[in-house]
Amino acid sequence: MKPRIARHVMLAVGLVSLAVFGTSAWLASRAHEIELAALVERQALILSDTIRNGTRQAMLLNEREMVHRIIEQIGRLQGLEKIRVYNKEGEVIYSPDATLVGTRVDQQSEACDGCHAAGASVAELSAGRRTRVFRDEAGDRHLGVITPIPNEPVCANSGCHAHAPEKRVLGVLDVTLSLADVDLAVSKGRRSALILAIAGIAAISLLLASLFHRWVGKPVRTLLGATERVAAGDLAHRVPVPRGDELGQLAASFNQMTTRLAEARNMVYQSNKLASVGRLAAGIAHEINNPLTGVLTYSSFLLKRAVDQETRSDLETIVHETKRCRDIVRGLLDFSRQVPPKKTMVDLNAIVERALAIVDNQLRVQNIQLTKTLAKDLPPFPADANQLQQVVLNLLVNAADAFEVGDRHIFIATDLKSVEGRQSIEIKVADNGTGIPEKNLGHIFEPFFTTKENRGTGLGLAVCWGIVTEHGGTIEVDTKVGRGTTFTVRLPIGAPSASVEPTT
Amino acid sequence: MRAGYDVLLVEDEAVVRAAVERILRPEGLTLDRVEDVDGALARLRRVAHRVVLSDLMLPGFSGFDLLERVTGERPRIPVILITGYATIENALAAFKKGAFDFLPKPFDVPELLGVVRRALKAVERRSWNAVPRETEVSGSKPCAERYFLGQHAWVTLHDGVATFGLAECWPGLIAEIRSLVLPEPGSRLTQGLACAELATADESIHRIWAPLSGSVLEVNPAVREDPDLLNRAPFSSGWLVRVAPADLETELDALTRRAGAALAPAGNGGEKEKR
Repeated sequence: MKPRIARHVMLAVGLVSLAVFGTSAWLASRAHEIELAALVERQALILSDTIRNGTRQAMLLNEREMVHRIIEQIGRLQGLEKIRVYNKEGEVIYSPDATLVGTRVDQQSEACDGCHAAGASVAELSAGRRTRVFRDEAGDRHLGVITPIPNEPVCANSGCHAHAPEKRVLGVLDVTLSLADVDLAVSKGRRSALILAIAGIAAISLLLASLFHRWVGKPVRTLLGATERVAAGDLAHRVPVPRGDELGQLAASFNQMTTRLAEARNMVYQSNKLASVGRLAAGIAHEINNPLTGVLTYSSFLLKRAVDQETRSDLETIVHETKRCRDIVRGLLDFSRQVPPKKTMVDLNAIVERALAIVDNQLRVQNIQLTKTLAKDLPPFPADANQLQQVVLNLLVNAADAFEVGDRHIFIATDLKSVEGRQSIEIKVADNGTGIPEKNLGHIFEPFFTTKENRGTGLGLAVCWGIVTEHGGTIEVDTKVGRGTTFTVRLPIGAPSASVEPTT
Repeated sequence: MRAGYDVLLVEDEAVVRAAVERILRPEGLTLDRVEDVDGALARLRRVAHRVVLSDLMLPGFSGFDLLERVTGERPRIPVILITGYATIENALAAFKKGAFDFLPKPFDVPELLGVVRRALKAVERRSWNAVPRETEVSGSKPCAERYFLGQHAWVTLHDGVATFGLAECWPGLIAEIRSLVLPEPGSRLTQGLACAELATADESIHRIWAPLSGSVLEVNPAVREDPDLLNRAPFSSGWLVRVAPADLETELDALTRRAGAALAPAGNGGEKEKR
């Protein structure tokens, strides 16, 4: 699956960097172009003034041959296209190109615009207006510079071919330079700017793509895969949480959500199982009680009449075992009859003491040592005292059954803990017995699961689980084969409960 | 009592019918057997029966329907309902509707004999339904107000502690008590399940059903010493156990509130329990 978000981000970044790079490249090349043009213009003006000043002396002396030569010499300079000197009437009087001499230039032509655009003639031209850029038929650009040749007093007073003193301008020097080199340099600059921009955009995009892939794409794909697995029912799946950024937090909260979901599913599963066990038990009880009545009544009837000791003993076994069946069915029904807890304010330590009083004798007979660590000042909390006592009792009886050989020790402790900002009352029942093998661990809270062969119904822990869950608590087991087992029951307190009633 | 049967057995399960007959006949008891309520009513119209022993779950009409008809038309015939464990609630309801006792399946010989003999004795002594049910008895010796599980057991409540004892179905009806099994302090009782067991000299076993659920606080040491107190002073010094009730609110509904029975031999029991 291609993450479309990556493509969107890439496209957006590409467009933004294109705009930024493009604009800056365009601005840079434009500035370069203007600078170059200014440079060329200044050179052209200098050149033009050089020609005028160079030819001044020759003109004053009216040495036409000299003027011609100077202009011709200068005209050989590279890039200098045309040099023309017009007289007042627009007739070309000097030019390195002999064919142009004698031709006339129309006052309307672009070369004359600087002075004659508005129909009037201007004596002084600003530097900017002396130059012009134009294209020829081939599209090449050219720079023209016109330099008016003023009527100096020396000219008017000279004896050779005296100009009338009222004339301000005697003629115009027109120099045309080719801009091909400049244009080439500009276009080269543009091309390299373009290449740089494209390379920059590509580099940024690639870098971004790889970072995006690493920081966003991969974790998002991992999360996506995880949601798919969880959706498919694998609630044990967890996402690695690499960093503390938002995606890391998302992964962490995803894991938390999955854990909660698994817990909730487990609770629903257990509750459903307990409920169906209850229905099953009720159904079985009714069906099985009739045949059991037959067996029990006939066998006890025969027992009553039997005289032979051996027969009596056999019948006693039958009666005894049938009564055991009855007890099992009764246990099932007691289990299925579990009612919602009737909560009053209870003192957990008192409950533990009562439970201990009941098993006290059994522990002594089995030579089991008991260590009791009850927290002082446990606050009273709403719970069903009888049900909690049953939980403690069941856990104690299980612990007492957990020993094979050696030192026999049971630890029981109560405590007040703060878990996830919520106060919880905790009961721990631990033993140093045989521990629970891995293969059994997943089943211990299931109804009918027992390792006690004939001694247990397999309902003890299922009942504990049901009671603790009904109280909104949790029951955890921590076990190591050969080392022992610890059951921890946590009951949240402080939550407002509607069904609380104080006892006297 | 005119000639007829000692027991009318209403039971659809053949093996149970046969078993009951096999047990009662050697005891010299006569048994009339039918399979359903219609059959039972037909027999009741035609022949006299001293005790009715009926299963609760029957095809067609239930044991409750039969119970209602019998208590309505022949209130002096005790009805014992046989129930599966699954119908403890129904059994509690049966007490409320006026059953003499209930007998959970599966039962053995002493258990069946115990309840049947007790009912027959009640008929013999005309003590069954001798007290009007659910009405005040304003006798000269008023007793403390009590809650009753039928006429089987009573409860008084003081300071959140419930005291249980045996009601009218017992005194004088049980022969010499051989042994008495009482619950251990700390153990948990469930309303409608056995809380104590009596074995009598006539090889009968009688079970006492807990009128309330709760955990046992105290067992009457006097009764342990001298079980016959249950016969002599069932409403006073012959109390059985004291219990911390688990769920008074809902469980009291299964009980009937009334004054103590007129046949209570001693009136000072109430005062004793008030202390």
